[in-house]
Amino acid sequence: MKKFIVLPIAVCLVATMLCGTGLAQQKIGFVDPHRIISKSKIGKLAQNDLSKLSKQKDKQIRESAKKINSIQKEISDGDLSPTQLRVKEDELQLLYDKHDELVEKAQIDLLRKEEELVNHIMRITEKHLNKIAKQNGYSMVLTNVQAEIIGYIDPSVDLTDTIIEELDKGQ
Amino acid sequence: MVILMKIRISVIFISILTLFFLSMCIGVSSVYAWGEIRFADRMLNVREGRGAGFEHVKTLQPHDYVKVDFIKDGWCAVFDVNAPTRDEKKAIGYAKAKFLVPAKGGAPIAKVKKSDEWGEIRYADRNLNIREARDRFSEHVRTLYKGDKVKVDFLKGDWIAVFELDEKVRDEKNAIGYSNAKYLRPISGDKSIIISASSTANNEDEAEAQASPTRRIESKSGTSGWGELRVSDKKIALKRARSKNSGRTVIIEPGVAFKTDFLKNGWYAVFKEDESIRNEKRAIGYVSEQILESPEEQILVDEKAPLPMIVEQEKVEDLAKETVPLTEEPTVEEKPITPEPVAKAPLAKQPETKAVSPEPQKKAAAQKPIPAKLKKYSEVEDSLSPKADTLKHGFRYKIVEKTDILDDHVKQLLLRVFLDVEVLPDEEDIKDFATTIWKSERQSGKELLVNIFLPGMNMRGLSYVYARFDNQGMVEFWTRDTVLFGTKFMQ
Repeated sequence: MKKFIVLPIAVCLVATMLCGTGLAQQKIGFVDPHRIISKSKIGKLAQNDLSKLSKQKDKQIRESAKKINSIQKEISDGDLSPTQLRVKEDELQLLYDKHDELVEKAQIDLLRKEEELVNHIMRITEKHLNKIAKQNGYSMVLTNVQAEIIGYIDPSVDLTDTIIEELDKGQ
Repeated sequence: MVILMKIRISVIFISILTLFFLSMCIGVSSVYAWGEIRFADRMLNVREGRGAGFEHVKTLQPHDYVKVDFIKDGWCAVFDVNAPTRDEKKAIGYAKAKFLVPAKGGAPIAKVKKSDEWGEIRYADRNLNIREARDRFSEHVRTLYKGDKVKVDFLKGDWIAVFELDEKVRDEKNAIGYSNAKYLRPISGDKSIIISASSTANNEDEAEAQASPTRRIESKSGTSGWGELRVSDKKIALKRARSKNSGRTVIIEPGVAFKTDFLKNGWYAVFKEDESIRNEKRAIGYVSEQILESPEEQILVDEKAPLPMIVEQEKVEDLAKETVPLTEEPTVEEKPITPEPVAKAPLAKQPETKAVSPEPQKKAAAQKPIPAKLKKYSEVEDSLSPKADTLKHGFRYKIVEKTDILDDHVKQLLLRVFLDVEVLPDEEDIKDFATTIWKSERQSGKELLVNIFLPGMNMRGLSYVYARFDNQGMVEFWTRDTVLFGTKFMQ
């Protein structure tokens, strides 16, 4: 009777140990792209570049808004003849449409250029990541997207700071 | 009496409990009785106020769910999905309401959809490039052949992300790459989205979609058991390295057989027909896989001078206007070859059999003096950088590419300009230079985009300067310090 209890338990324990050994040989790392962008030197340069672009776009939008306000003021001053008023109102409507288009395009353009810069940094990051992963025997490196499904990552397998150090060397 | 008292007390107690739970329910439901659950249909900025001029707070990703309320002037206050209190001061920020789509049934439990609930199966209606980014100038990743089926999603503008058919996770990072959506047809045969492409070779879309090869390239079995023997009915100009920007070596005449092998990164090493030793160092040049399969990408040469397969010199009539002296058996290495200065021939001159030293320096001296800070970059450090052939506004430069593009129904002329400088120019100087280029290159009815690259930069990647001009003048000017990081201009 004892045999039937002890034997299966022993088999399970051995199987678990073997599986554990197998899993232990699989080294899995993790990298946080958001932190790379926010903490690395190149990431900060990218943020500065986008900030410059954003200010330019904002300036264009403010200038457009200024034109609109100026025509609105002319209309509201009440000094215009009916014909002039109609002309100004048409002009105002055109400016409104252009302004909406400008705002929308500015947003899309900012997002697109942000994506381009991020992709540029990620391409460089990938080269460093491949090198570090191979040197340290990682068989897999996860990012935030995959990590969301897993739920917990031990800080000891977080390669983000190492990657940032390599990126900051500027090679 | 006592029993009655006890009953009364328990009834009161039960009533109080019931009232308490009822009020809790009302309270709880009131938490969710305000606002509307919506999701972003694109990457969307959340700002501090109701306007694009306000500070950016955060960026919502496509399909991020939020609660919105206080909609006014096309902007709405954005809250966390589980925000309990309807208080505008507690909003995360404000976003444009039209980019937030009402979610039917509230926020989903899980963000990731099942594999069969996302994307669309399409097939390529012709040979088609998949590129690394949503840009025809980005790296070629793979070629889809006519009829190949793929899964597609994340349509943005004309470009769509392409996935393997069996891809289960809806994550743009898992995409193979990107292609022009109009050449990927739905399996259902819906042709409403297909726009007929122009037949001109200069058209961006035609260049992007791989046409069926019209040149006859017959592959014969290799004579020495390696490589592939080919014959072309058009001239093929070989490159020194696996790059479009590397210099040319030889021209292969129509009807002349050659051997190809060592396919890597979309480039073949090319050997003489009778080459018996399979060693890449013995290659006479490189040719792009696309050129072998697409007639539109042939490099044209001077048709007046009939050339044998291997030539001593050549005169090339195209934008480059450079000649490349050759030896009988040039050494081709795996890495891009640094051309020897001695071997360079003068620009736009009849080539001689002997190599001569370059003359551009003397030519530059005859024109207006170049300020010290714009000292000429005389030595070619990187063979991938083009050779500047024009002097304007104190800058030596070369327009490497001119392409007509269409961006959101706006016709644009895109210029890629290589600027030959040794130190980083001032922003104002570059602005003036870009404006000078605009004045000479502008075309009516089109915006002009000037992308300026510096030595050592990847001409196919992001430029250092992005300048946009309309008919009146400069509309936008932006420098990307990011791309200089790691180059000699920013260590």
